[in-house]
Amino acid sequence: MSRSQRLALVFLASVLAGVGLLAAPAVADSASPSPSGSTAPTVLHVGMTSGIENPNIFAVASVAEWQAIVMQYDMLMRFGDKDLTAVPSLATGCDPNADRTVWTCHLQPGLKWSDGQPLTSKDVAFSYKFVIDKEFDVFSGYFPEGTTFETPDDVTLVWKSPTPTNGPTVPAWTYVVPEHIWGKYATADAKTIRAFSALPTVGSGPYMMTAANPGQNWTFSRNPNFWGPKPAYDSIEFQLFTNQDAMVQALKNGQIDIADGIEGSLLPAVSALPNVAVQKVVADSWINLAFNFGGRPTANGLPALQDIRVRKAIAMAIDKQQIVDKVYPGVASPGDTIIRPLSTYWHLTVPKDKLIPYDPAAANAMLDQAGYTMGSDGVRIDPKNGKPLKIRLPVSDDTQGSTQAGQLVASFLKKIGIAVTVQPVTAGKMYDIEQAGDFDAVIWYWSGDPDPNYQLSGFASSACPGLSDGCWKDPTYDAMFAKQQATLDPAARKVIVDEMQQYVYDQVPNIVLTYPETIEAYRTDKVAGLTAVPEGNGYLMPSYVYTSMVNAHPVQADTGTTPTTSGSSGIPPWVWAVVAVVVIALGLLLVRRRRGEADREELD
Amino acid sequence: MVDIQPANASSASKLTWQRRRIGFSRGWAAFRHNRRGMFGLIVLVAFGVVAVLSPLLVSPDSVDPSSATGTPNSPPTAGYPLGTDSFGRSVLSLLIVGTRVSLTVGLAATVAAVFIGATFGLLSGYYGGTAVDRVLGALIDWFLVIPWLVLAIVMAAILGPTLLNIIIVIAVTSWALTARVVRASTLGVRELPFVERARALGASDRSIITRHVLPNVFPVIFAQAVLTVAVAILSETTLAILGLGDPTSISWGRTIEEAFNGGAMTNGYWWWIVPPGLAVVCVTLAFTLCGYALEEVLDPRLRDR
Repeated sequence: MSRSQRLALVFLASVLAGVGLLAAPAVADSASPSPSGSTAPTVLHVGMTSGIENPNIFAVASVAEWQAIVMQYDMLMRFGDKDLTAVPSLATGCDPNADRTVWTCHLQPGLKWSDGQPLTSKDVAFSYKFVIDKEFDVFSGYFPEGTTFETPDDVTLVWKSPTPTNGPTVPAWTYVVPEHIWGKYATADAKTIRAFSALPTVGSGPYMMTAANPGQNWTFSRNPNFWGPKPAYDSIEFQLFTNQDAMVQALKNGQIDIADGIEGSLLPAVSALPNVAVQKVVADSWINLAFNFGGRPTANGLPALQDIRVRKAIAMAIDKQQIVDKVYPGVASPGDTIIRPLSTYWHLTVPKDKLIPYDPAAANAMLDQAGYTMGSDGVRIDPKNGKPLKIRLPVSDDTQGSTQAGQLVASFLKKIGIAVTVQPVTAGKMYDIEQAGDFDAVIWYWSGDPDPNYQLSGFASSACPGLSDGCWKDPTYDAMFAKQQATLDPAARKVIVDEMQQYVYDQVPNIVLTYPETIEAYRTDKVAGLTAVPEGNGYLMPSYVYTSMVNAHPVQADTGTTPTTSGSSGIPPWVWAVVAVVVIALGLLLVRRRRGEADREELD
Repeated sequence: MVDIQPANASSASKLTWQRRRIGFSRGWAAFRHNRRGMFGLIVLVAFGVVAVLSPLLVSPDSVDPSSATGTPNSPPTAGYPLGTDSFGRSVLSLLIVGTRVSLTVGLAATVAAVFIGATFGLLSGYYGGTAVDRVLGALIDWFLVIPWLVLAIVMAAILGPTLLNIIIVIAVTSWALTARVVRASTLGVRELPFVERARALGASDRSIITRHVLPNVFPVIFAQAVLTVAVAILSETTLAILGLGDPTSISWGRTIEEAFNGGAMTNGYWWWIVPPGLAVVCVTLAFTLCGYALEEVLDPRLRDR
């Protein structure tokens, strides 16, 4: 490389680093909105921040994959649009016997799969046995051990459980898959089943995946054999955006009709867009700071964290309100218990007198009293083993705001003499770290069913190893967990569930930092009929049910005028001008320099 | 070794130093008349002063995420001349603290890169045409042709995000050019009569390289080093923007990355993203200008006539 080339390269690169970044959204601005004629098929364009690696229902993991599953398959009884309590779906209803050990469910007659094959109670029985046999634990937690299924005729399913259960009406969050597709895997292992991938998929929901460009977009076409009302859109397209700014630009330009999973930090910009409505979905997950209690063979957590006084001091040192204000401004509330506010009935708001207050001074005093003396470097020493209180804190950087929350936690704990090293990792790596027990504390998230059982199970001893973050084991909690499982009366169960939430809050095996909301936005001039589930502040996207996708319809464009504003990416024009002047001045300087050099090269 | 009387040695070294002093002042005089070089130098001195004084200019509390008291994402005001970030920290404070980290990483990585590059270049050049040259030459070529960014990302991801690792990554990915340039110079120097004379007097290879070749290629190494700093600072920024920087430190690149993640682009928080970007441009350019001015001063063929 000649000197002048190298010079140009350095210059170009510095411009890129300093300024070029700013140009990216401006470039995206110039892209024209997709044309939509009246005769052309209607397509609902959805911007997603996660992709679909495999259309296979048993390999479901990401948010986009879950939404794809929800659109393509049916539950026996589904989540209700209003409040997520069970309503008829494939089954018109399920009747229990007196002691709730036998449930008889009645399927609608004449159901068909998307490929035209009849859908019968045998498919349901097959699906349930399949997830139980193959231990697909995302779907199999609703069937008490030893549950069997019988199919006296094509529209009747008998569900027999050795213990009383509310199984079908929880509702059981597990999907009915076609036996004529999956039956050939009856003897295969879970890994082989998960590796299966074929398009178009066969299901009973309103939209079936018919095309996939992995890493880019996925097309779902209307299922002609769908048993419900005919949806308005011919197809739905999921488009992956790895960059939030690009997704917001695409929404603004009309390339997408809906944007899902917008980060809270972009809320001001999205709210200001014309013809865009923002849906703030009630907190459906919680950002969790979990401690490592050992319990896994390779676990190597900091022993001091087994001391409840240390954990309590940490809880007292963390200002959750400040985390909300600085990391999730306007889109989260401070956390308290392990059942999130979306489960309105089950969520316990910790009473004022039982709250652990934000009080760093008291936290310091508590640690002093417990014998954790401050070292010369500002880090406390564990009196039992002389180890400094240093915490490795992996944070899942796929979880919105967790890196920044980690930085704040580190900053809070520094003030009580605990040193924290924040390590941002991907969700996949986080899973490995947790399963190996190779951490002191982590920041990740939890989410689950509207029913509290799944959520509560993550803290039982039986969840270790597995669902449990840090393998906290507590016999008192385990006893309560078994009791709530066996209690069918909601009011009686609510009392136990409340006790359990309070107990976890008091024992501090983890700290619920915040309940962040999910943000969705859509173009009001393009799409109408989107339906929030649950009612009011629920999801517009198919997170629990596909109702919103069935109800959605295009807005009849009067003149087809799409606002085509351009060039304004939020940065004021005069900033661009100043940046341009500086860059041009520096550029001129270099060009002059290069010309001089070229002259000299000629002389040589 | 050549046997020399102590008295002579002392006067010989005195002579050498005198000659060097004269050489240096002559070079400085030439550099002083290079306007672009002086401009770069002044900018660098300014940034250097800020870096050295940063602990006095900025209290640790004002860049601590939980202690900062500013309104998050506020545009420039009297109290916060460059506005605040999402933690409510003053962007000016971040910029000042970042100067220190960015310059430190840039300089440390350069020292390492130039040390590796100069050593390999000297050996490869001095043994030009031999097996040593072929092996080292192949190694240098290899590092020159692999795309540095890809290598840097892979290394940074494997080693983990600490400042020391970032320095190592940058050093490993940026030494090859220096090696190539030094090798070329060495090839020329080793053919000069005084090298031949030293060899005739029985000097060892090591002594020839360190006493005769190195001093003569040193100006090239020095100019190359100054240019490498620019690349190193840019590399650190690039890695940080890609999320591979040390999350516990504050550098310009980290500030840009945080701004990017904090929605600065879409929300129009220009005060958060433009200043660190311009700081990188200025320092990179200043080092580059100084580097070329030095090359001109040290290489008479390049000097303005």
